[in-house]
Amino acid sequence: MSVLTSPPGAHDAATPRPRPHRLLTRGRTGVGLWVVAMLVLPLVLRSELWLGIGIFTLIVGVGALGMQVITGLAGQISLGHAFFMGIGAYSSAWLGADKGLPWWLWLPAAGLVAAVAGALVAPVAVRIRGLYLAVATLALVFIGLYVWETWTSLSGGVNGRPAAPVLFGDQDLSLGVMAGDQMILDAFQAWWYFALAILLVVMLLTHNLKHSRLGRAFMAVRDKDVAAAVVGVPVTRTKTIAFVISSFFAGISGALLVSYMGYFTPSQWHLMLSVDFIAMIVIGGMGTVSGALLGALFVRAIPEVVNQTSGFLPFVRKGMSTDGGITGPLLSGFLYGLVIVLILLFEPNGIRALALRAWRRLLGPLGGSRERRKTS
Amino acid sequence: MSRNAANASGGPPALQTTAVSAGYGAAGDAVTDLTLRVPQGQVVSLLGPNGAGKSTTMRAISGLLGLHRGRLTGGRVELFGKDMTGSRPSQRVRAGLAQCLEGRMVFPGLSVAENLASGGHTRRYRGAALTAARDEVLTLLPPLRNLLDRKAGYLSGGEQQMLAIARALMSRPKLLLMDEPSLGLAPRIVEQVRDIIVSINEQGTSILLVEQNARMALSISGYAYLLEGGRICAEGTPAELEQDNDIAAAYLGAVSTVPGADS
Amino acid sequence: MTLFLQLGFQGIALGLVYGLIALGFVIMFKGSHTFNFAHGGFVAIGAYVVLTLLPRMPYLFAFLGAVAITVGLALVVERMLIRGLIGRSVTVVVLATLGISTMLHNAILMVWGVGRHDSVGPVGAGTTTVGSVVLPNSALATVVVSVVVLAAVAFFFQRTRHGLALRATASSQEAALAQGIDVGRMFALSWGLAAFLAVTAAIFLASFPRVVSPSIGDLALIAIPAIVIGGMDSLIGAVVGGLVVGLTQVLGSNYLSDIGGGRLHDVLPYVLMLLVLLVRPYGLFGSRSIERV
Repeated sequence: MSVLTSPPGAHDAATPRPRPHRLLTRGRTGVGLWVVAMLVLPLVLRSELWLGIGIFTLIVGVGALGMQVITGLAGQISLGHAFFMGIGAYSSAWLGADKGLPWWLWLPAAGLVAAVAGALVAPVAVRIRGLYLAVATLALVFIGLYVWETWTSLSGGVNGRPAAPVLFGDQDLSLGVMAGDQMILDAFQAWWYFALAILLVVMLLTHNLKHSRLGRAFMAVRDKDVAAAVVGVPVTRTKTIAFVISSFFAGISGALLVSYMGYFTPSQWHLMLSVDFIAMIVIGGMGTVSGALLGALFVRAIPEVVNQTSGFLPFVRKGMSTDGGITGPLLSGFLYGLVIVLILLFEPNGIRALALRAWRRLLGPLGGSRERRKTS
Repeated sequence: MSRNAANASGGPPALQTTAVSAGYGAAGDAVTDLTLRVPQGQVVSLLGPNGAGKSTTMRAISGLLGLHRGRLTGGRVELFGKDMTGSRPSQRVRAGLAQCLEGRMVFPGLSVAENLASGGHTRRYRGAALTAARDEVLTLLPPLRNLLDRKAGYLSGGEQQMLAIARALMSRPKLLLMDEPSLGLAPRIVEQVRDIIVSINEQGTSILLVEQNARMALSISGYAYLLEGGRICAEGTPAELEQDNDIAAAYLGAVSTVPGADS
Repeated sequence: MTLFLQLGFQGIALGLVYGLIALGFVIMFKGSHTFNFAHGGFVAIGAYVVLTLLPRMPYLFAFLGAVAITVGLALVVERMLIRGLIGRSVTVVVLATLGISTMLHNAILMVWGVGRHDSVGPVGAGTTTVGSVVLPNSALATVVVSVVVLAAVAFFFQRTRHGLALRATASSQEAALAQGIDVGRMFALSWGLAAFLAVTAAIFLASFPRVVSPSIGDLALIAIPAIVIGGMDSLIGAVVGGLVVGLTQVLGSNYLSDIGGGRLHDVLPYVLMLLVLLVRPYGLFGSRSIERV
């Protein structure tokens, strides 16, 4: 919920096309407000459900930013995100759980291994465009699934395996943070701040990337790669770099995701996960940091909300649906698809644009007071 | 010019636009308050520099604005006295309109014969009727006869232009819109294309010709409109336009650089 | 040798089924410039509707009923979604069809559940012996019907006015409109035709392991490597690609069962597809321009 008051909202409300210097002034206030809200939120939010959704959102936010780099900025549609996340997850589990390395080694290493995989795929991927690229990267997901399921010594096969814990000294983040005998942060809060810290670093990297020379090269390639080549942007190299950066973020996100869950199976690196990430950036808003985060929140929260509220609906039954019947997960899956379709049809620029419009409307008559209401 | 006068007949004009305005999205109108008229049996040309709104005018007449995310913001389009303002492109083709798009736009993967057959889509030709219609069209454009089995994408620029014209004629149109038929063609081919346009007109088809090559267009037109910044800035017979020194210097002189277009 | 021939025939039969599905993808792609990730959902719907109708009526009627329902569904999706997205980016259209796919998948589970249902198939379980080769009747029926349907589709595209119009639309929507071809109708025609092919494929797909389960929609995804191998805009390519994938799977499942955990044949089509992309980024029969879409 807090992400709704996304940082760029402030400057975009004033100028639809922000100039860099505006970002430094008004944008910073927005980012500052958002960070403060994110710091306070786990202290006041007492719902474990929402804290959990929040942590998941922060973690997949990292992956969504990776997706934003490759698809939103560089314009290369990739269905392979689940594959690169899986690589990050298994690398981290092997280094962290099997080899006992600390998190500040396995986490960057997970990103690096995924980035190397991205670099290996890039020579094929940069030669193809559009739909062919989408289906080529789809192949990665299926090949990955096969490898994870077959390589049982690494993955534990269909039964899954434990992930690497995040240890600070001898304290496991999943058990909360203690100072002496006093618990200063519970497990949710500890993970929240940890994931938030990582996300902030990745956000900063993505923001700087977008406004750098390389970021402009990405967008030149996205908008017209023939023209980009003419004006001297090295298209192949630019696309390769976009793939590498995107895979790096995906790897980090995958490693964090499984570490937070503690245990994971091969089946979760399915095509559907890639679809989630495309949905995040398209529904959130293409090409922007805040769009990716909004999308991440949306994609994580909607199914949960439907799942929770469906318990109160009379026609929804409990348990599995062996021979038909509406259950919570099925209903939420169905509505998830429906909402994607509706947003694409009726709000082409994503919920970021929707939020901005609402923001502008509220900002006029009511000032900033409503902002806090939306945050809580 | 006399040949046009000879063909002119009574009845409603082939084309009449009344105060047409059209544009694309938020960019504002690309053409404003356009009123032009193509009497039956005449060649009328629409001249003007790049970006004057010539193609937008064509799309407004043919109903293809929507494909380019544009729309008609005002005015009426009538074909042969019938209001066609909101109708679909296919309805306009059935009303007797055909067009050669800018850049020719033949179907590259289809053979010449298939391209021609697709031009007769609204006529529902079957078997021998299709061959007969094709033979009739090919009498005007004989060079295509030997290329029927060739893929259109492999034709030369001039051949593609002829194919585009032939394809448009397959629906036996009463009014033919031609968007820049001389674009990118060698002077010798431009001359051929001009002769083809003249012979199509001689068979009774009215023509609206959009051209940057003003000299070529005026040499075969009975009337011309000059478009500038989305508005009609001058109109008249070729003789009248050429007599106006300002217009001749500003528009006609500057663009009549293609040799061989003189008659 | 006998085993090889038997497997080869099975592979061809399965490949033709994939070819029918792949052909549907290609037709929708040509007609409406949309790559429909929900096509597997159409296949699944077709299979389930046949299953539901079968106890109440003869096979032919059940099949026709399924065709009617699936084609209707495809037309609704085309009309309400795809036409609204004309001119939008590839990413948006891909996500939209993925959204539809998610909806169909969950809707199927709501109506028919996660369980497996026995399926009858259009012909019985008997076999026919040719020389020393024993061929299942279901595979024979698959081959015969597929070949007839494919021939009919080829005739439609090459010899009929609407087939030509569809090919013209695929080539250039603007030029097609200028000829008076109703492009909207071509969109609908391509989606309807693809849905018909999906149901035809579904009844044979359901007769291979003789069950209908929710995974039948995923099974249809295997047609994607077929299309890429053949070329996304090539009708012949779809069939050839389907045969390649079918043969790879059937032969692979037998001769490669000792290595790679016995499931290697499931991923081989994808590996093959990547190899083809490496050499020919637009597929074996596709036209070069499509990679730009």
